[in-house]
Amino acid sequence: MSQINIRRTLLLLLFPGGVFLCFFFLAPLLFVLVESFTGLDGGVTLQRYISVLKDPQFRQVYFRTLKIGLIVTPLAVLISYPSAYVINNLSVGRKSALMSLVILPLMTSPVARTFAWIIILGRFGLINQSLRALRLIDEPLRIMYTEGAIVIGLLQLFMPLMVLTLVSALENIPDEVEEAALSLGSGRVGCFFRVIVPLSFDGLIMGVTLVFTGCITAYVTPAILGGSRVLTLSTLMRQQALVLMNWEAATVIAVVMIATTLVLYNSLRLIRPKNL
Amino acid sequence: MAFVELKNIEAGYVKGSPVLKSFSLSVEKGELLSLLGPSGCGKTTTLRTIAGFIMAEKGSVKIGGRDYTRIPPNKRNIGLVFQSYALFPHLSVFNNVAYGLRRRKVDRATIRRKVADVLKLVSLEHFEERLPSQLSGGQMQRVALARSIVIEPDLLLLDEPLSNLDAKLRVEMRAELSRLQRRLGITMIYVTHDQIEALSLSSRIIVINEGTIEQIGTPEVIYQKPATPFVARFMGFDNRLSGTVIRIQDDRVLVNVQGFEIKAILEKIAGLKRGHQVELFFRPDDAALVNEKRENILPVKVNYYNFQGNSIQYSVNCGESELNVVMVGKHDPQKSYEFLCVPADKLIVETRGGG
Repeated sequence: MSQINIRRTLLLLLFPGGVFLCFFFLAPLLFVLVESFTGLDGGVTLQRYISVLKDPQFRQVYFRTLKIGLIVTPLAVLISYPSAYVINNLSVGRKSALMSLVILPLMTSPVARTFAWIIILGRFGLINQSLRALRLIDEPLRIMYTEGAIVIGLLQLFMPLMVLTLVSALENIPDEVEEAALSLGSGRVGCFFRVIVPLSFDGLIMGVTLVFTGCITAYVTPAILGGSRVLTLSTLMRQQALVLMNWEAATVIAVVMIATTLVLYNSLRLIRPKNL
Repeated sequence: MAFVELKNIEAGYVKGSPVLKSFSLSVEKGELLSLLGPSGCGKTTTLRTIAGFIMAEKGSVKIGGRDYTRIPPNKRNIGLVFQSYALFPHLSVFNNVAYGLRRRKVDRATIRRKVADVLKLVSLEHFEERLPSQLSGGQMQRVALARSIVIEPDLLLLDEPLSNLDAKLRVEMRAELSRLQRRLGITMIYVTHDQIEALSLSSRIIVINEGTIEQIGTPEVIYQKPATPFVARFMGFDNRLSGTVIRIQDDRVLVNVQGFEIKAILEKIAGLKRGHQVELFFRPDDAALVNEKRENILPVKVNYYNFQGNSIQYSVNCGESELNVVMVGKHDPQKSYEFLCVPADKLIVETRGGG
């Protein structure tokens, strides 16, 4: 087959997926983008951006969303790295058993998972009942509808992603490399930071990107655990669009959110480990 | 007392089914000892037990008189060279070699000097800034070697270090290893499944099979006087003939093989009696193909031959048996042969069923 024919075949194979994405993803996005720069008279304007970015409520929600991402992501790394390390060093049978446990939350409906949190975090939930039984509190603590609740929910939601990407990164590190480090005098901890982390760095960045962007764009979890009291970008956008019918603001929020994710994604990709 | 001493080691990967059972060996200071055996025989397990990656369930590991049985690998000061080199891919050659020195809190200036010295020793002085991915197989092997000797280990363990290299490089590195060992006088334990490597490098060889030691000896003894049928076959006594003992006289045994009398000169006749069913083993290059009738010949038919430059390898049929014969020197490959002459003084005689 000639070079041109191969290219033609490749294009043909890409065609269905490409058409689908163009119609149902790129085109709507483009409309949103164009819409966000359109004024009431139909001309190009930054008016919508100015009014949204000046709004203190938007600023509060924007920085809260970023803050939640900045809390959840490092926590996910701290919790997932040791687990991934242990899972990777298990025998094949145990490894696949634990891996399916990790994947299990990804396969249950996010709505069901989040409602489970209400049972635990709610006014008469497990935590409050236990604290009251221990006579540590008189009045139930308010955990639901706080940033803390959203952090807990998102952490639980995205931890499997972090564990999965870390395990697959760790799998690519040959055992001998770790053994070489040990034989040269590194302890387990030193070996972890000097050899394992640098060699699984790509997986770490991948996991951080997935979790961080996931946190910023998540909707169901902040909607249920934050309610209308503690809004994030997604829930604010929905409120503006579907409750207040303020489509002008909603389109701007959508564009800002996408821009933030793209900037984060591309700047994280640029991070490379330096030689230790 | 020997420098390295393993006593009654029981070790393995799965609890309850050890690879090594009641395994003992000793290594003298400054010696290069090879552990030779087929894959799965326990030679790597032995090495990993000495390195500390496998904790022996029973027995003791002593190095320089000190008990190391329960000491973790990072506290043992043992150098390791892996078949896969196991270089740190994210570190430059310099940092790979400096790794062990840094863990020992050696000061910067000394590290610079020692790394430079050892890289010069392995002829890689201009490669300090390269990453492992920018090196050839042979160069990676040298970095791995440099990295493990720069820490001045009490003991250097090498696990099939040359088997990922191509044939020519392997011979070069073998000579280089030998030179380094003599120059530095490091005690080395060398794991290999390659007889030639073990024979050419070692001061002593330990042949291991299924977790037990078959024979310990100098390369000459192992090669010429294999103690067991297993060692014999491993050392290239590939040809086997069956027969019956006719007569025993002093150090000679006469065996009837397919109606022909074959004489074998042995060091000890131990256990052989008239009428015993035996098997004769010999090397392809110890036998010869001839046309004239003489002592110790068997009629054969040549199947095919392989011309190999300075030698010709023949496959011949002798009754039911298919044998290999290598004729070294200038021969005419087209020439036909009628008889196989079996070397009386290079035969190994084993009673049938003896392994």
